[in-house]
Amino acid sequence: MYGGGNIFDDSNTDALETEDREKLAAFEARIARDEKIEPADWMPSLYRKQLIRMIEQHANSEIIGALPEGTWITRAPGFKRKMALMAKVQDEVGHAQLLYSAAETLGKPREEMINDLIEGKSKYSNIFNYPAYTWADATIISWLVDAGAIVNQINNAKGSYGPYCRALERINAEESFHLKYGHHCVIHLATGSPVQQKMVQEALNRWWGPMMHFFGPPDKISVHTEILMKWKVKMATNDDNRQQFLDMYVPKIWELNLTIPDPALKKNEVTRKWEYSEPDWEEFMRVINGDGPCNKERLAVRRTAEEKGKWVRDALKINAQYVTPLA
Amino acid sequence: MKSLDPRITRLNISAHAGSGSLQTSPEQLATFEVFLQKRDQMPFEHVGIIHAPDEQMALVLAKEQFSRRSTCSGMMVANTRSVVVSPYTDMEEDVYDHMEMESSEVSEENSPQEYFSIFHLTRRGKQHRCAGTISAKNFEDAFKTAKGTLKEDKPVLNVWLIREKDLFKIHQQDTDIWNTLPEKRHRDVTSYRARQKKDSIKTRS
Repeated sequence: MYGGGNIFDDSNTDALETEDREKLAAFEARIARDEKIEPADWMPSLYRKQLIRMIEQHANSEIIGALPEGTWITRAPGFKRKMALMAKVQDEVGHAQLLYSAAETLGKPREEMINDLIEGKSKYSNIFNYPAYTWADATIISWLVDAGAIVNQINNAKGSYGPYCRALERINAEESFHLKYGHHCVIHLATGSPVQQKMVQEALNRWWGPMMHFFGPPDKISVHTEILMKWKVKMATNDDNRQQFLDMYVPKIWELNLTIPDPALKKNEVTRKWEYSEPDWEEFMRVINGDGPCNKERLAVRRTAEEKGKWVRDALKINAQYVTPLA
Repeated sequence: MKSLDPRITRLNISAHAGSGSLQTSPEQLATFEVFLQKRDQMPFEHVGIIHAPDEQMALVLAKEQFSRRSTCSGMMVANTRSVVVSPYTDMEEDVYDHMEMESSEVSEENSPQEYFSIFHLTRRGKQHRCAGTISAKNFEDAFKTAKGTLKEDKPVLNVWLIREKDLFKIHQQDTDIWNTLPEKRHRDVTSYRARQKKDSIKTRS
């Protein structure tokens, strides 16, 4: 989800053939009895690689996600909103650190992950490649994008890798404030003046498309979901997550008298599943591969921050020796 | 590059699409394992790591990362390199029953005793918790002693041993930030109640 659904190279599946049969069986048995895998355990290289990629992309999403929201801190309406948004963005950066730390236990150093992000080698959640035009956009992001992330995080917290689960538990505890705050902001606009109502409706119209992309491509075109779910790396399919999100949040959006810009969106009472217009997956692939409105800006800002902070790192006179963290 | 955010426009940076080499070299900061005490008298528990150049910075950054939102009563850090880790056991075996600690340390007969903090992991997926302090000559000695004195009712799956002198605790005078933390209401879920506003929509239409 965080990298766009396709987090595999096809070449990787062959590596599984060369793994020690006995060790692989013991590893899978542990997962099957719901026991967590810890950093010191043997694990197939495919598991290690995919986990690093997934956690890294999740961490990248937190850091980049701070940008469209952070941009509104100085212009948030009123002191309380500024304080709250500042606290939320602080949390997001903290979450990124927790996630990078979890990925590090698998053997990839943090600085390498940060460099890969800036170099454009690793991905982050596509939704942050879109611009936050108005304050209402910031509120919609705080509410719905966080809601989407929480759906995914709550599911993944039951996964197999210990450090990732522990990081997610800490993160989920802090997210409840984000969600409440976001909802509060949207309610304020939706129940406000005609100008406010129009602003939030237009923001919703802009963000609905990206929100439908948020959980990644539909299951029928998502490859390798099966082994990721067997190893409890992926705890729910993209479509499962999407359905859960729609179930929880479409009613909440409708109760604010906001319309969702998809006339086909409705819940099928027989199948109990939401039906909707198929999102534009061509646009999704285009944007995630670099051709979105904000891709260049996001990376440029991260790179600038990294370069401008170099003197601080130099002043700390880093002479330390780094080893892979333990848990 | 022009951005919706005037501050970014003012930076006058060029749009960057990636795949250019960064000027900065990826120097790694060391990592410190962080242990937190939720309430007075409770044992310290591992909560995660912090990247920092030294122990003082590590404590400052650990406070920010691990008590930014929830208060606690104590915190300490140890460089990851100073943590000695026992083997992991499987299937609810107790590490004390089944394993011998191998230590690269060799102590002389007359070397002084020092204190070691012992941390136990009793369940995969949970975190190491301080089980006590042992006085011993070296890590191997400490493990043997812990076997005798710190055994628990549940099997211990993994043991961390850290020399007391490698553990850096927060000073009492730096703990007052935890007293004012609960006052920061704007981070509280309870500050964002909007039931009345929502209900006003129903009465309107």
